[in-house]
Amino acid sequence: CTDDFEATNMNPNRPENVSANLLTATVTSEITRRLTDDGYDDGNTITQLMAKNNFPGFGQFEWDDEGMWSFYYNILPEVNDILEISRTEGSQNSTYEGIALTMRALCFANLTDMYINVPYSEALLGKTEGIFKPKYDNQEDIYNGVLQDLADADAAFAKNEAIPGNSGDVIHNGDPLKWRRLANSLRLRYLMRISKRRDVSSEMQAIVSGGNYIMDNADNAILQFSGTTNTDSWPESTGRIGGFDEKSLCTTGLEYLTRFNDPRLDIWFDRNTDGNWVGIPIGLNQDNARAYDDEFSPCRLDVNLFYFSRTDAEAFIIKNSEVQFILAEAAQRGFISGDAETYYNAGIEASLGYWGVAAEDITTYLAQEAVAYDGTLELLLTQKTLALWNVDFQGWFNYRRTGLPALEAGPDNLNQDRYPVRFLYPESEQNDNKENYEAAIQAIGGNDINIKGWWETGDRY
Amino acid sequence: QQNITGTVLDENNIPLPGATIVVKGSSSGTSTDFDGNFTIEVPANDAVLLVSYVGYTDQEVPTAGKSNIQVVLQPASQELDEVVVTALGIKRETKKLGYAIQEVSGDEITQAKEVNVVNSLAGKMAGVQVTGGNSGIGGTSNIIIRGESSFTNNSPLFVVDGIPINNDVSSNSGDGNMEVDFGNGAMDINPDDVESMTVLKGPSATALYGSRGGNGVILITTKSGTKSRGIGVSVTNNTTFETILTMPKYQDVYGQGSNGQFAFGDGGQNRSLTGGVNDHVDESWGPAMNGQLIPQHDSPTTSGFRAGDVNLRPRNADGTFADEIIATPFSPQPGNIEDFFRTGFTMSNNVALSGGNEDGNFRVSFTDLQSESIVPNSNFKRRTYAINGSYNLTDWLKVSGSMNYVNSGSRNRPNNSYGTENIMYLWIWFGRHIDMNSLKDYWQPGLEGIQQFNYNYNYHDNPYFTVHENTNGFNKDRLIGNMRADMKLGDKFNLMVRTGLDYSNEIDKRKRAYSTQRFPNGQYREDYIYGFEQNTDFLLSYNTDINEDLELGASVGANHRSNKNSYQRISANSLSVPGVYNFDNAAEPLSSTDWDSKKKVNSVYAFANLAYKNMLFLDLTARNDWSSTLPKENWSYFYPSVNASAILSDMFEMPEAISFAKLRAGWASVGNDTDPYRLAPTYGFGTPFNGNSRVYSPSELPNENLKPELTDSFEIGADLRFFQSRLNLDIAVYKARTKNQLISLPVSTTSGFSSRFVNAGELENKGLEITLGAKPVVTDNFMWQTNINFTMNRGKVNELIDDLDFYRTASNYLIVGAEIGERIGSVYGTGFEKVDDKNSPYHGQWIIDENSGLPIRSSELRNLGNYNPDFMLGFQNNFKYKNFDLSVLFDWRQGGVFHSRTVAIGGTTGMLDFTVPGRESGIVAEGVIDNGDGTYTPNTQNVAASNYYSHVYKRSNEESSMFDATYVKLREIRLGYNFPRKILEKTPIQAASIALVGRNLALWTENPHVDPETISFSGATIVPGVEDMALPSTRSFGLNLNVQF
Repeated sequence: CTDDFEATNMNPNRPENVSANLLTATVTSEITRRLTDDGYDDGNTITQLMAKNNFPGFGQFEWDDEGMWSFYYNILPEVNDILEISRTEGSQNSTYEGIALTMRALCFANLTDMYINVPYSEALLGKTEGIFKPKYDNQEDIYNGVLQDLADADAAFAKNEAIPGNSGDVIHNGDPLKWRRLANSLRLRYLMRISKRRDVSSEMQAIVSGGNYIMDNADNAILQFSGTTNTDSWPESTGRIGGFDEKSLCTTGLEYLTRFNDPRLDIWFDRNTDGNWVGIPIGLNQDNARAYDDEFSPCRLDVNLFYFSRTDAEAFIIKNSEVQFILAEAAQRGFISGDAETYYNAGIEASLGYWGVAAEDITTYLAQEAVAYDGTLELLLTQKTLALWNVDFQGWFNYRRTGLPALEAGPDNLNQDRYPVRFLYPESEQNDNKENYEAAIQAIGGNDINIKGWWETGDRY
Repeated sequence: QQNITGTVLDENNIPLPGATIVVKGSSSGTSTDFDGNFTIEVPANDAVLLVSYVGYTDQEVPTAGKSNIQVVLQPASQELDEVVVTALGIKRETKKLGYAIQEVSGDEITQAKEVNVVNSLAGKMAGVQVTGGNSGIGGTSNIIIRGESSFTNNSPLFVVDGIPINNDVSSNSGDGNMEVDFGNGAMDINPDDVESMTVLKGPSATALYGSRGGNGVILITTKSGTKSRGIGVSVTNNTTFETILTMPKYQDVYGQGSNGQFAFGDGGQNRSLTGGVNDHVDESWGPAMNGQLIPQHDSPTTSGFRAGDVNLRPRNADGTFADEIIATPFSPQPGNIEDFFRTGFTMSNNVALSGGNEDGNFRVSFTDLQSESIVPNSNFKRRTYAINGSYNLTDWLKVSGSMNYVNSGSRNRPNNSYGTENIMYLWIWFGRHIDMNSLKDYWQPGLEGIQQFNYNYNYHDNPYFTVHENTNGFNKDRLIGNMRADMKLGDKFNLMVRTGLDYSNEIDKRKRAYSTQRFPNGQYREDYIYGFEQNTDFLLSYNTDINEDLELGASVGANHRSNKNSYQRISANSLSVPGVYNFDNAAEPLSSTDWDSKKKVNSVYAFANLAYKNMLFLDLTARNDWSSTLPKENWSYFYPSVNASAILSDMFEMPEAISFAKLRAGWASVGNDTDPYRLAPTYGFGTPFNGNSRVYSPSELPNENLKPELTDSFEIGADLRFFQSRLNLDIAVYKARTKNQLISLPVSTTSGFSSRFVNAGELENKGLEITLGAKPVVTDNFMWQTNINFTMNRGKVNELIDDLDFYRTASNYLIVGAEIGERIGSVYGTGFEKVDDKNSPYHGQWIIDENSGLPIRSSELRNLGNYNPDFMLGFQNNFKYKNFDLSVLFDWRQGGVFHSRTVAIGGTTGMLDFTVPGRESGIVAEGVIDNGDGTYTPNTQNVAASNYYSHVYKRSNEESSMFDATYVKLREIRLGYNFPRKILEKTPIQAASIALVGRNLALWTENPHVDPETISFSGATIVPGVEDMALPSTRSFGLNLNVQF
């Protein structure tokens, strides 16, 4: 009577095998949306472009793992599956392979930038190797892997293989050329990141000379929301207005934007009740933030762009403006040949252009004394911080590497006035991967938000 | 032919009216009148009368040579030859059993009727722990027998008339909705139709149920026609009222706002234009409420609208209001939240008709239950149609069957858990100055169906709007039935063949109106939950007396089980036209979830009972299961049991005081399979993104080599009765070990999976159960009966898997974990840093952050206690005086801890009473500053009260909101009166009784805000040890009326 048992226990609901496009849709949409959602809220807060007037704990540096750990490790299996499919005979495709390698590099770079040592070489091997407690690797090894993945991705995209049918790719619809530019732009980002530790000039120069990187806003790695359902809408637009209203213009950001007489101020923010531009300092406690809110009515974010419209705001991985600022800094530091000012101006043009500022206004903007390139990293990186509005934590990573533009902890911070440089490991690792967790803490010097990683403790500059 | 007259008396020589007297072997019968007298015509020769009465043991009385007889019946529960229903529905004498078994009669269940029949077991039995849910009548109750033997599923198996039924919890979230508790499966059993409930506690008792008996079995026998009296019509009415038992203690000093400031502008709809002061702050750190004039949401305006009619009030070009709010007194509203609730009302009416004779019996019963919750517009209703009959077709063939059709439903069930859909969430973020009546007109005039009216527009929904417009209705059809034939094959063989089914079909409908915070354009969602289980079995039994001293019973049987389940959810997350709840009205693509599953289990079993001189007994059972859910190599599994008992009082001379003494011992092994489709990894579907279909890699790594789970148990016990059974003592001691647990083991997400499904671990449960019964006073008119049951269980984790020493079994704020060597049910969370140094005078004090003046939170998890009780004790007393009877049941649960989310949030928001001190003067946190050299300085920094409380009760810090879960509840009181004969003599009514009943009338516990008897949900998983914005617990009291014709 057990003849039909095996058939009975075949799952009719879910497939055991899927094609790469279905996974690619998941990976490209989830990661891009999450990057921008994090940047919009916490990333802008930690670079002090924005501050919270309600629930200000993050700005007071009351931090935990902030959820990114599980997000990245939960999406990485899909990335690995695409890679596996793209290398399996019959479903081979170098473009999918490149997409998977690029996304894997992006995820791990972000993980190590946020947490320092994380599981890498033994990560994601539960299925194949039965490793359920991966060891943590040090940041340098992870960066070696990230850069290798991106170099491999570059080679894969160079084959220029088309994806037949629906690619599932919501960023570039499977265009290998555009993906190649994206991968190389990320290489530039990560090479710059480790440049305090390592001489990266030849690699950067090679990429620049190769010319296969984002140099036009048309190549920006952008996700446009269709707004069909809550899932494919700008995330804030699906929440309560109260959640939107917790965010305000930060005094620091206001200072940058007024100094530059910056049109982005009016694009990103609304004037307050009295028609003025008012910010709120970061790091006030709940009472003080609300009291400040009452007294000064700081500006909220642009409600039409960031709340009422499900589609106007976009999500992105990396844009032309960031790449230009990386090259500007690289040129200024002599990592690459070329004129820092040209790159700097291109970065500003790219950013303002992206936000819809008219060409003639950009020219006027650039001509201002406060904006015109003065050869200081301070100005360059302040402009870069503005260009990194909504771009995950890239502005904070730059600050950690360069200390520019200078940032100070707010008055009611809970971190002894120190500016934090990492997130905590998640509590679940204390249970599920205890020994390696403890070894990692030992290795980095504590599970503390003030512990610096490998790349930010270099001494090349 | 001759006439026999007689009297039927109970054990106290009180006449029993309505006892049934049947002439054995014929269809003639009668019943006693109100003096217990009867007259019956019998054949002249040696007839035998069969005398029976509900709750008493049948007695056969030969009439030969008698014309007047007196029959004294013994109550079934007091009597040594007591017969109970055991596994597979086999009736056996209690004294022959080698394991503990306990029965509750239907009378006891219906005395103070509970809508959820599971609740009626609370406090009544040793070894049984019942935890009522928190969503009111119609909600889930959790029952655990002999502790948690599994990391995941601990529900006992419910069996109705031999047919296993589903006790799954129907609670579901998803698509932006929060959990709604639609009840547990066994809740569909109608108490009026229950003849008895037998609880089989350990594997020894449940071995014949195999895979499913590991957590104990509750056997429910429904009423049949055999025990009817009179012409067999019974009518009962049960009417009860419900009021609030526990309610959070809200403060009545400070109103909404922050920093002592508040004025209503637009309720936070648009912060930049508000014009108000802190009206977007949904906490209660506002001004003291002294009746001073402050603009409020219900204040009038110069435009004639209420201030809160923000969509209607005239505006200037820049969006600010063109009218003025006329300030009104800012005053406390004590009791405003209690006033929102109403008195609950439950009425249950039952009519049952029955009859029976020697050849057969029949019973039909109809029950209508209507219950209106304490939450406005929330209700529960249930109609039960029961038919039960049997007939002796020939002298060797009897056929019987029963069918219960249950239709239950509700127009609205309240939402659980933390979020805007739960009204308890609203009130922990509320203004204490809000007059609840001002929210009753919950639409802005002219915008009915489109825009709600509220005191707040940035986070919350008006509570009346929530309960009247945003409903979670359901309708469930359930059919439980069986057909059975019993054949007598010669003298020694009996064959039983049976098939039965449990079918259920539930549709849940959620409606969300326009302007709901989470669904600005409304929502409509339907969930379909289908369940079908069929069991077909046979049992061939053989009974013989091997010789004068030795009796043998042996049986073989087989069972085929087939399950089909499906779940579908369809949701329109925005609507084109407000108020039309239909998928055709969807304003966006529908979202859906779909899951079907099938399972088959085949079983064969055999058992033998040996009795020596009716004082030594030996039982052996063996069962083999084949389950489709396991891999081929492991899908067949075998488990045996052996039980023995000895009646010492029959074997040896005993002191006179001992009327009965029995020792028993048993060993058993039971196996367990798993859910379908757990062997191979599969991809999950996601919501399409920009038109692209999406899939997700499996988050759980399945296991193609799964083995069945195995529980071994050993129990010994004694049943001692003294002084002619006036004092009874039953003791059971057990130890059970569960190996190869089938668990979804959380693993580090860095491995590529969140969990893997494995056989892991070993759990050990040890326990002691004591039942002590006594009848201290028995006189002609008065009787006092008392019963104490004591339960103590310790579950321990002996082993996990690989080198794992900690396993996260569940989490809901707290992490519920299993740690090797620790008790099961340990909870973990974070707390503040404390001085560790035992030699420091500040040992145990908080370490305060010098800058902020607030305690420092530690990110390290710590053990915050265990949610399981140290022991439980039920204490029941029954008094009878003439026609009156009184019963009182106390339920004491000692020990265990729980986390109160209500207290955590209420502390953060300044809503609860303990946040009042220090509001004017500030607070110096009690703790010390770490000087960094091993010394400490007492903290002297004064911080604002709001800053202090919101930090100390911060949600991420579970330790501050942990409480002792000890409670004593006055679980049940019943005062009954049986109408005397003289009043009813001239009516067709044969018997009538009326009773005042009350349940959960009083509670004694540490925490004043919430009832520690609580469970929370994480999806359909019950998470114990956490109170998660529970609705107020309730007491009920009412009237029970019972009339028989």
